[in-house]
Amino acid sequence: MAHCGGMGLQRERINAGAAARRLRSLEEPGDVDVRRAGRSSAVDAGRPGRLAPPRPPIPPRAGRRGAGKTSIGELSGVRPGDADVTVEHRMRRDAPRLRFTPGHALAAMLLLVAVTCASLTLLVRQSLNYATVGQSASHGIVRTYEDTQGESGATSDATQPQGTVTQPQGSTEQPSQPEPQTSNGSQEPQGMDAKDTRINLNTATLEELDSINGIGPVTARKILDYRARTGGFSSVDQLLEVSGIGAKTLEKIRAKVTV
Amino acid sequence: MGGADADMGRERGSRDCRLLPAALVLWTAILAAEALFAILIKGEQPLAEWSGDGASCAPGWLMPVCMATGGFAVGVILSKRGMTFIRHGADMRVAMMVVIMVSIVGVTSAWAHLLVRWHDPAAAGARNGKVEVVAVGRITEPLKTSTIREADCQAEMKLESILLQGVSRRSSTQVRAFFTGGDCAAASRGATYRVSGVLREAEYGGTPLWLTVGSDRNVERVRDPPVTDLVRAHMQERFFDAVSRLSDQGRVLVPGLTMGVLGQDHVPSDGRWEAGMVDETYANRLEDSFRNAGIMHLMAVSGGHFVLIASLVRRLCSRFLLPRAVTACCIAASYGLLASLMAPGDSVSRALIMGWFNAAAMAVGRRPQALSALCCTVIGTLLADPAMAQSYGFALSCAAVLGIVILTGPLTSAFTRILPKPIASGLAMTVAAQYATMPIQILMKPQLPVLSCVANLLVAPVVSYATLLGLAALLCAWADDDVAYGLVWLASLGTRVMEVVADGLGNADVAVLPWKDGITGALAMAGIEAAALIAIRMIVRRGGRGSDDGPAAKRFTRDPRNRLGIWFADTVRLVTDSNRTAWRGREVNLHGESD
Repeated sequence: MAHCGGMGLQRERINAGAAARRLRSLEEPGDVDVRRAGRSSAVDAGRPGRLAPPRPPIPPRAGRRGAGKTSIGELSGVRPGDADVTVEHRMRRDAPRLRFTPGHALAAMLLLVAVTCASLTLLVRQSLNYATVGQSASHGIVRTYEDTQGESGATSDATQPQGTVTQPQGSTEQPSQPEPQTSNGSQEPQGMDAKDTRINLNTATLEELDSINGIGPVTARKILDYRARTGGFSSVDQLLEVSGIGAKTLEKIRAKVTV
Repeated sequence: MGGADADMGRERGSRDCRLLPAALVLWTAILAAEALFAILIKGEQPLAEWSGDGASCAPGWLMPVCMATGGFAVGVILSKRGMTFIRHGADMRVAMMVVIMVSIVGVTSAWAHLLVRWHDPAAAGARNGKVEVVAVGRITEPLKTSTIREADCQAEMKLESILLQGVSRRSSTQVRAFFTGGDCAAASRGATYRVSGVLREAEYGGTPLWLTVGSDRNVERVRDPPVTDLVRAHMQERFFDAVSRLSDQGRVLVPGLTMGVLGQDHVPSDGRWEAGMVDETYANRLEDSFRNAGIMHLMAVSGGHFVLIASLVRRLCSRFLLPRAVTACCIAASYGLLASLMAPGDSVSRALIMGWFNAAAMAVGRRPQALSALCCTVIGTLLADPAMAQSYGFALSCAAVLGIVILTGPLTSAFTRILPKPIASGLAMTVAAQYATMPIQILMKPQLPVLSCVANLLVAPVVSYATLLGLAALLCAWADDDVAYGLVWLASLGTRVMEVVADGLGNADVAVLPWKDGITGALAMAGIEAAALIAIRMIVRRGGRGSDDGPAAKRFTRDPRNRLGIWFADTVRLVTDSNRTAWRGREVNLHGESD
């Protein structure tokens, strides 16, 4: 209590209440609010924040309450809060940057539009490729395959051990691979005029399904159950949903069934 | 005008948060566009699968109560700061324009990507059920051990064309191909293959389609991988050879820490996959204990790797006194090389692009700002590939960086008062990252990792050293096997510490607490975190506001601790010191004197 306010130049008996009143009399409402608004980031209680340095001290007017001896501290304008916060600290910028200038905003928007246009252009190019490649589809596949036969044969002799694994695979695949493709390609015209030789899955009876090489009586019963449950087959591949028919079986019977 | 200038004059350019609202709005807009697409075109109910079980029986009063509380809070804020918003109207209009433009552009890009993916021939074919196809595609990621039982290994493929019901068409979807048997040894990353198998829609995971390749003789190589892919595969294989000589935990954890691939997920390319490198039960148990302890994020490549490499490169360049632009180019190039050596993932992409933004800032001469680079990364990535908006890896990575950037400073200053400085900074970073990623983790797995801050703090000293040693081993394994083995052995000492921490904390009874699953649980957690932040901020502000008005005595007695101390001292004096009691007229002391 004896060091109250730091005004220790007097030797009089310190009266805590009078000292507090003197200190309070030094504070003016304007100074306090400028300090507060300068310190906090945004605008507090509607007062504009200013970056001006602190106002000079106003000497206490005569006739104010508690008129007695004035201390040097009062005359020099030392305020109780001065020791805590330095001028540089009060004038420092500390708000995060949230405002867009119109020029920056325009630049950002143009950049956004440019990035989006680039992304959409790549997408559109993909879709265009669908249209052009789709027309010459199977022809294109066969050509790619025959073209790469030369390079894959040449490069698979290289150091990689897996090259020797793929090459016998490749050579045995060679005669068999074009055949499904050509048979697929020829299946369409063949199917057109020879459709009645293939069994329609949606109308077949148990005996007709059993007669297919690769389907036995149990599997035929399962196909009929599936057909009754789901209402019918929309594609030959739906046979994969029937338990007991896997990929290999499907390949065997694909040529003999239709939908 | 003067007021606006003065306020703008208080803004600091090195705390650039201008793009943060735009990035958040863009992410939300893309998610909303995907939900709208799902409802309109796919005919699904996306909210049902996101709400988790029990959302349909959520009490009916919950929604109006939440809205009323939210409206009340907004009203309180507006009444206190309403003048602020009105005065800054002009500036906010410009910011709103940017936000609206971002959302329009985001929705457009997302809708276009979704439409293209919907009409892709492979996706359209697989929509009706399983279908037999012959697909030509390139393997884009390293092979991993398969997650389904019918296959031995899996690989992500990007299709070039697909032969479906006799018609061959160009396709460009991502497909996860499952191989069995010798095909696993034959398949290598970067090569183009023609595979025939069964295509169906994915049951889980980020890839939309699954292709199960039957057995041998169904895979045929069409194009060899480019030379860069061969070089990279060779380097990685030599690294795994060095790792395979370690103990069990080293074989699992060292590749995970270095490259982001756990040891049991790796498929060696020379046929040794049948034996497997690690015991599967032990590996699964270790992975679970890491996940429960909350340190599983160490096993994914994140920005930490890139920061280490960047600091090394920068020191090297400054040793040679290279100019700043050259240093920035070196850093960018090293980022690219490092990202290509790691296992590909969304968090790696995020770290790479953000690193490139920082290198660009350094080249221009600006201070690299993490928040600004993060916002640019998010906006650029989501506009170029809107599918990343639903990627958990990308979301976790971005949320962690956002949390670290925003919260580390205040938390460090708060913890420094209680703890010593190095522990305070480590704990602050852990808590900040955990705070930001908690809602997303709850979406992935609805449990709270209670001990994760402690676990992260315990392993923090060893992570950087183990990572650096692992990276050094990866870079020199192709040249010298023994040096690489020495380096990974040192790294495995660090991972032994991690294993001990994970075993101790992850398998404890109180390691995880269950939480509400689905989007309601995540929103509840986000709400609780926001409320906690606001409460702490109010306490700090109230404690700090009255710090320098009033005389020192008033400040002293405003603190309740001081008031309590004064009361206690007075009480003790009252009770023990009967000579000088303050009660007048009640007692006369022994000598007849009274005060």
